[in-house]
Amino acid sequence: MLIQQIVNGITLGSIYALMAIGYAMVFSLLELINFSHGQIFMLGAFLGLYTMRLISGNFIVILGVAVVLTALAGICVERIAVSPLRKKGAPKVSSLITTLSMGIIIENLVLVICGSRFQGFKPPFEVKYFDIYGIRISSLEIVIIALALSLMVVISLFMYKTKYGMAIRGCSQDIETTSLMGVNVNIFIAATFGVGSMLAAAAGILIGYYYNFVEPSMGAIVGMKGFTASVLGGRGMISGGVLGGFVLGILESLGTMVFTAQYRDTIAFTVLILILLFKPDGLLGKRRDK
Amino acid sequence: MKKKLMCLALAVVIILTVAGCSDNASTDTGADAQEETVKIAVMAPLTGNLANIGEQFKQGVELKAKQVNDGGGVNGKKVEIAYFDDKGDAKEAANIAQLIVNDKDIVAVIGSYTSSVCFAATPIFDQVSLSMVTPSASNPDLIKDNKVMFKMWTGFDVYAPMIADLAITELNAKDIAVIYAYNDWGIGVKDYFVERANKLGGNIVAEEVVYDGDKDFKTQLTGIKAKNPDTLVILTYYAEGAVIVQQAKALGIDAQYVASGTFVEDQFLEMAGEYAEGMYVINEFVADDPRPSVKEFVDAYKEEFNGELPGNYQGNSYDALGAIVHAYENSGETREKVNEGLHNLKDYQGISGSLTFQGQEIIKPQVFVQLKDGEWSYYKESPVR
Amino acid sequence: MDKTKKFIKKYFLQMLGLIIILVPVISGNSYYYQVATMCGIYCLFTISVNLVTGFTGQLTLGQVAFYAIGAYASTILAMNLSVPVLLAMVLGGLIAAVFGLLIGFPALRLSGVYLGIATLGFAEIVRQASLIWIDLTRGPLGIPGIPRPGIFGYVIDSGFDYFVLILVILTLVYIAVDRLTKSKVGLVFLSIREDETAAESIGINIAFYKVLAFVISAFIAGIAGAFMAHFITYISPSNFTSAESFLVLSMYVLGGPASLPGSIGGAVVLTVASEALRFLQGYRQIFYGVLLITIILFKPDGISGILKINKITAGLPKKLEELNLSSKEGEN
Repeated sequence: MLIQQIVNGITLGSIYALMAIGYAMVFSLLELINFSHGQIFMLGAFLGLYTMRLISGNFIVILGVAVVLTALAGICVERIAVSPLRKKGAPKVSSLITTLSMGIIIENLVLVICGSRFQGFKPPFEVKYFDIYGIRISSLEIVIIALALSLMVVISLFMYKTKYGMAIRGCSQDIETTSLMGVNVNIFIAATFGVGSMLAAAAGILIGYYYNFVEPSMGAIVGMKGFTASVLGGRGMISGGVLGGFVLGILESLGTMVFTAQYRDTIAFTVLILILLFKPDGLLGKRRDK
Repeated sequence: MKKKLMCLALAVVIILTVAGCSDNASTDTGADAQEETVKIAVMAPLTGNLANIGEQFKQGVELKAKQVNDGGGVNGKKVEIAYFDDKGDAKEAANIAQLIVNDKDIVAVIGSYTSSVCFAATPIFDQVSLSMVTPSASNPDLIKDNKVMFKMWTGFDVYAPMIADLAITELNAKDIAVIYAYNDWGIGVKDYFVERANKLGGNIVAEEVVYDGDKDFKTQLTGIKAKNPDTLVILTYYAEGAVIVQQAKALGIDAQYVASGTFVEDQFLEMAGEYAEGMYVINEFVADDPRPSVKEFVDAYKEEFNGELPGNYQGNSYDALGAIVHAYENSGETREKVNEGLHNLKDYQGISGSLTFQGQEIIKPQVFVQLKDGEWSYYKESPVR
Repeated sequence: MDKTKKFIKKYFLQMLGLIIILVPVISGNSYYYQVATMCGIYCLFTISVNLVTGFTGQLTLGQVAFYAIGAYASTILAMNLSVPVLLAMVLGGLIAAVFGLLIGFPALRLSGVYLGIATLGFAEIVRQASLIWIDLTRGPLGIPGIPRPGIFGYVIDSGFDYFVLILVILTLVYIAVDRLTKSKVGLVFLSIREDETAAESIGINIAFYKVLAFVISAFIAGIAGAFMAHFITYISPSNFTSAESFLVLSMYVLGGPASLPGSIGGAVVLTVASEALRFLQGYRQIFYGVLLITIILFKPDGISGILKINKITAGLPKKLEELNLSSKEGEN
């Protein structure tokens, strides 16, 4: 029973981790929190659904199309709600309100266009179940964890081994110097939002498969938990986000076992508040990605 | 310039309110604006998270209104429906209730979906004897302390014990696990079910709770699996129910499913039909019901709505409008008279049989329904309590 | 044109108040009374947000928590302990204020966005508690049949009665908060918002004033919640979601920071607009979102900025020094 719960926790945790990376990237760059990230996640899931219905049932196609379109949406959010404020030098709080508003707009647009019903979203491959030492795990869960981990590896490679990645990290260290060195900072900021949104879209599609449906309000809570995970691990750090995601997922699953399922969401919020109060730099403690 | 614009905008908003508020509803049942009409309001969540429910209310009402109007109307007048969107929010409900009360032409209200909306609206309607017939709300407290709320959906104090009969007497359940929704409906259903189940000698091995909108029930189901039940009673709405049966399969739970009528929805079949094969539920009617009044309704509905099958919400709102029209015809044309007529409603022929309001609620015969070959089909009539 | 501008600027509040009062009274329409009373409730709610966020610079995104606490506390006192409703409302506000104290302390450690998030988390926890603690709040079943207020045997149950009551409460609160913000305490609040370090350096006890702001704003929000409970006569956890917090945030942003007339304006405009714009249906929330973004991008000081009725904040620390506040720490 305990191990089973931990397996559940790891599956959910990998989703939280994907979300947390998006928050971490934006935070490390601009020291602000993108409150529309949860709705971007939901948008990715819906785009996946419609790709499946209108274009092709092929998993790669679904993932590809949804991810690219969601990245565009993420960049729109940056252009509309973030960069004008950055240019004006407005207080960080303002971008909190604007990104929050963008999130509400996205959620309600999807609500109006697609309706509030739960829409079925079956994975394009048959799900098999395995019994290993009394623990039941499905092929879907394995795919989710594997895919999430691979995406994390890809992102890390991207950030540490490629030119673009280094440029983004340079921006996060010191925007002025980097721009003085001839880097077009705006493009990289937009790119960061884009990449974060891609991860969110992938997470959205995976969650859609996991529960077999999508609906417009699925983003809000996951967004909050993804954010909690990034704070838990260490704001502004990708590795922190990953760690925080898995830790939160496991804490949540164990917590529902101990305190009953009623408290699932309360656990996440309590963790958030406790971390903010007592260890605001998160588990990994350091300030920024080096 | 900007300030002038701002003040102008403010003035416009205020004028809009004053003008717009008096004529805020939309009507669409083919009633001529010139003719005198019988105006009935529908209060439902037409947008927001519960919009698909509001849509179902609308369908039921529209079908009945069309039939009435095609048959010459009521006392020579056509039925006119005015729709009001409460978004499932109690605060909106209070505002809308006032809006409706101030439209003197409206003689009765059909609505709403959630108990919280009804609770917010009834005190306002009670002051002017404006009847409110709800197709779905089930909280027993709704009909206390007021003379205007009428419940169309048979209360769970009646059908929840029947679920116990279905499980234990019909299906020979021995070790029963219950998973129920943590809201005012689910808690009530569970309590009545457990009470009866215990009386019948059933052994309740587990009771787990799920939240509206929650999607992950592995914890609860893992706990249930550990108790090895032969029967799993699911008392939730269909969305959560669909996820529950899938996750139960994923965890390897093998039990007879018994559930409440909330599952008789096409969407449930779409989402999880294959996992729930063989499930039994209690409901007010089902598409292949042998009763002629049901068949008539289902056929008329299919014709009007492109072969879709009606569910409980369509059925109850259809009957709600029918009951109101009946009261209008037989008791009188004012709000007070309609109210009186509803209180005295006796043997009105509704979809599932003869309807009589007893103490502002109706007790209808229930049927057992089985999910067979991917379709909901009639099993047998429930022994009347 | 200049004359009109000046006139409007000077009498904005009075004009708005006049319209809100005259429309229902002249028409006698109970729907207008309903909307006008809701305006009053939201005015209180928005003022409470403005006091702590606009004046004192402490971002609160979870004000609905105090609103909820006030509502439940007042309801339970009135129904289970037979406390007279008006008294229960005041006590409800006080209990909310106690929670304001609880929030105030952690607030000291956090700032900016993180404080906002912590308050959001707190609001969520309050809502979960109201769902789970069935024995106290009846959880998702909600509490119907909440008693109406009465005074000397007269029961307040008509639209007109409630409207008069909320006007009385709003006027009292407005005058009190106005006096407060124009007093030395108000100056301290503003200086905390503008430059905490500078204020601290001249000896002001920042902690005390921050907590004070939270406590007073929680009290006001609690009263607003209690009034709402006894007005709608039914509450349940679904009344107190983050959507409600977002609505009040919109009203505050629309009204503008540190401006009481602005808050009144923001609350009234959005409450009335949400009724007038019913035809927008599903697009209403989208409209609010677009409105907020537009205001923040182009007119961050909202109505108060447009009508130039906000607080002057230049040269604050100097002013405070002149007032010699640092030696009068405990004074209110």
